[in-house]
Parts: sequence; C-alpha cells; structure tokens
Amino acid sequence: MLARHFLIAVMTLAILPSPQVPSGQMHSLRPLLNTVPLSDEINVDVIELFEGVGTQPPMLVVQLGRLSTRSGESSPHPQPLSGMAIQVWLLRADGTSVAQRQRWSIVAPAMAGVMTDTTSVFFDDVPRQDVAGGVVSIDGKLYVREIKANPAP
Amino acid sequence: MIARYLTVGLLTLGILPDPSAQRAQAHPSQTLLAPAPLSDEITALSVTEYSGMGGPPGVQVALQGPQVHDGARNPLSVRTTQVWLVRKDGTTVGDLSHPMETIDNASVRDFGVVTYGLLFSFQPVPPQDLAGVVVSVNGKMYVREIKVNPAS
Repeated sequence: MLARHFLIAVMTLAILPSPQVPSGQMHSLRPLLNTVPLSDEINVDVIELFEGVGTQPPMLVVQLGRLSTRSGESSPHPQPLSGMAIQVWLLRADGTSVAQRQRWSIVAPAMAGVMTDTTSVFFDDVPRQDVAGGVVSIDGKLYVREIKANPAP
Repeated sequence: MIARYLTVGLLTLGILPDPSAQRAQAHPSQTLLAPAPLSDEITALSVTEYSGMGGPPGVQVALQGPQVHDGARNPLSVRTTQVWLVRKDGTTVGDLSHPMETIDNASVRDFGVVTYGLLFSFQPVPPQDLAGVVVSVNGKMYVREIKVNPAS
C-alpha cells in the first residue's frame, strides 16, 4: 500500500515539474478509496494529494493497479493497462463530474521483485464531501464505486 | 354509442399521467437503454433520446419504482436519487431541468395501486458519445452501459 502511494507521489512529481518544488519533496496523501477491488485482477485507489506541492494546487488521483508479474517472468496479462481502453469519471454529488487533468501509465517494480501495472488519472481538487463516486470503464465494461464523505482527519 | 364514448373517456382518464408528468412528455426518437430492472427500489431504468415538443431536444432517464397502494408516498425521492450520464471523453452531460416526479395511475381503478417514478432530463448529446448511465439511490450506486449502434 505504501509503495503504491509512494509511486503516486513520485509520478506526480514527474508530471508536474515545478521549479519551486525541491527535488524529492513528498506530497501528503489522503485516501478516499483504499485499494478497492474493481474486477478480479484490478484494484482502484482514490487519493487526495495536497500540501508540499509547491505552487501546484491539490488534486485528486484515481489509480488503477494490478500485480503484473515478477521481474523476468512473462506477464499473465495479454496487454498492460496502458494498452487497454480506460476511462475514469469522478462524480460529484450535484450531478456533475470533476474535470480531468492528465493520466499516466507505468509498469514498475514494487516489492519482492513483483512488478505493478498502474494507470493514474489526475483530477482537479474538490471538497471530498462533494465526491459521490468513481466510475471506471475498461475496454467498454463499466464499474462504479461509492465514495463516502468521511470527515477529514 | 354513448356507452362506447363513455368507455373511451374513462380509459383515457385512467391512462393519462398527472399534469406534472405530462409536462415532461416528449417525442422519443431513439431508445438508448431499454427498460430493465436496476434494484429492488428501481424496477425499471430507461434512457431515451427525444426530439422535444416545441422545446429543445435532449435525453431523458426514467426511473420507475415498485407499485404501491394508491395514497402511499413516492418511494423514490429527488433528494436521495441522483443520475449521471457519462460521456466517453471522461465528462458528464449537463442536466436540462430539475428532476420531476412521475406517477402512472393506470392500475389504480382496477387494482388500487400506482407506480411512481422520477424523470431526469439532460442536454442533447450524440448517442454514440455516451458511455453509460450512473444512478445513485440512497447512497448506493449502479451503472449501466449504453451501447448505440452507430448506424442507428
């Protein structure tokens, strides 16, 4: 779990370069959905990134992930997530949705030689109580998960 | 003859929805999602593209609740029900108006039951741009794919 969140932070630093952000500075993370199964093999996290992002505003990240394979082994999946038709929506309770910024896909080593296949979609930040749920389309099949408005710790 | 007119009149009165629901009537031009059960609370969900009746075209999402005895409250509430039409590009379709309660009282005379529902109206969108419809009822969410034949 920590490895996945760390990966998100690293990816965020990579895609949002800012001269005001010292290299290696860590973002603060707050999960709205914590590694919830989406299908038999794919999990979803919804995370709020905030603070420590220099001049960048906070944002929401929907991360799809699955264990890919141990390094050196052939993948059991015919194609990585980046090769699949993926779309993500963050739904607001008022019937609208949160604007998307960009996405990032990567296959990277996690722990014990296991590779993780990850696609992250970045959204504008909105108050977490405004987020009602997330919808993911993978190769035309739709999944929805509710996001409860837990009070911020 | 008079008896026949009387019968027709009574039948018409029986099948006409109430005035608030009548305002939402339109000319459907294409069924995007045929009526199908969604949950215990939603006995039918349908999505229809319509051409409007002197008004703008759009897309209507109709939710139908279970049959209840005449006089009972609508088990579906606009306060606890929300609908999103999601587009393939990652956005959602904006609504045209506030959701409306509907009532089908066709069976009230014979069986003493009515069927309430909710009607959500959205801005017009090319059907092939739609990915699906999401419904939230009392905090529980459901999703159905919309697949439109490009030739239709």
